[in-house]
Amino acid sequence: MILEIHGMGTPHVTFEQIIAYAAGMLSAQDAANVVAHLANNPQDVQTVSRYRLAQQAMATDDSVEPSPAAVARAKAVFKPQSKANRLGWLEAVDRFIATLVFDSRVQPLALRYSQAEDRINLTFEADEVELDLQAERIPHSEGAERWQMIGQLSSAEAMSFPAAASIALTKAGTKTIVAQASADGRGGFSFETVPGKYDLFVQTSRGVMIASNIDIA
Amino acid sequence: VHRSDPDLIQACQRGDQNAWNELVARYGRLVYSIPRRYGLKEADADDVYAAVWEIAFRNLDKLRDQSRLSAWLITTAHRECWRVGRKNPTTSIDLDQRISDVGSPSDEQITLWENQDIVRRGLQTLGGRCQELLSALFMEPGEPSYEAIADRLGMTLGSIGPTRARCFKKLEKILVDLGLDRESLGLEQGSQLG
Repeated sequence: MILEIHGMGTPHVTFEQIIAYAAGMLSAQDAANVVAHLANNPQDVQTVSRYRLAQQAMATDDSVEPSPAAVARAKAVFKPQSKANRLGWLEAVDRFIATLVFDSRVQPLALRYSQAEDRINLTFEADEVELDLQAERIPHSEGAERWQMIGQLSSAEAMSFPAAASIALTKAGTKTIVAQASADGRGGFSFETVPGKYDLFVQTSRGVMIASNIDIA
Repeated sequence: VHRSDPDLIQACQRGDQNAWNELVARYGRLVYSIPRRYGLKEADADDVYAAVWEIAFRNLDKLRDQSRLSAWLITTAHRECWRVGRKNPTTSIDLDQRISDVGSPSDEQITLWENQDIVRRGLQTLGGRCQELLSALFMEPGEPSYEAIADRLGMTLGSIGPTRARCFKKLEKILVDLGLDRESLGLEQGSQLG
């Protein structure tokens, strides 16, 4: 099918002629007719441009397909963080804010920790739960600066903490999870993260404990 | 059904692995080609490729303009090429000569790579005889030999012109749907018509 195009007061030009013009395949006389037609038909000007753009793009295309192994590796990067996962237990009704009772940066003379720029020790308390948090800069980490956060949960009553308690590190003031972990049998857990401000959510049998505005830098 | 980049990104954010796979399939070639174009060896190109997708996954929530994912991937790949190339002194290329601005490729370079990717994907979507004919016409170095193309595709010489027009009409619609860059079309209008 040839599409026929009529411009106002311009030569009768077919779509096939427009494409032939775009491809540089018309005689000088036929090309002049198409140019006159294009002067009043901006949509066809776009068609000519698109044809030439496509031709130029393909003629210069030196792209390379990645190997199936590389593609599989890229697909494996995905770790689902469904909306439900983000908002599930973090949205529990029974939530309690933990109080910061020790910060090695503002209490450097405390005997229990020596002061070091690449290590931060924090202690939070809430009801019967105590959280000791140590953040330490990972030396020689490639690319962006990274810190390892090691946590220890304990219960004032039993001096222990239930295994497999869920823990989530979120960007401060949001529910965007940047790291998740489960406490081991002794209440210990660890993350790796980049410098920033975070909230730490801990799921306990009594609700969700929140240690807020943890500044890692 | 073609899903837009913002649709796929939002599906990824809901935990949809298939959406992520579709993004990797859509832009895998675009991303992988950048280290190869800069002359990185295959192993280094693989590292850049993997790093770009890891960075992309970590930053899905931070993308300010989800419709500009391909440009963002190009810039990220460009930076990773620099990082990987610098780290590996055994690389045989001179990155200083190939990469003038460490932060980002030029806008013209980004547009060209995006357009090449869109046209390639457009032709794949077109498929069939139309894909074969337009690919042959577009990719033939220099003046295409219509006789050779007609012979190869089993067409009569006289049918190439009408078929080319019919096929391009279909391709043009696909390219617009895929977001063929309008700015570059504007440049084309000013510089090449007439």
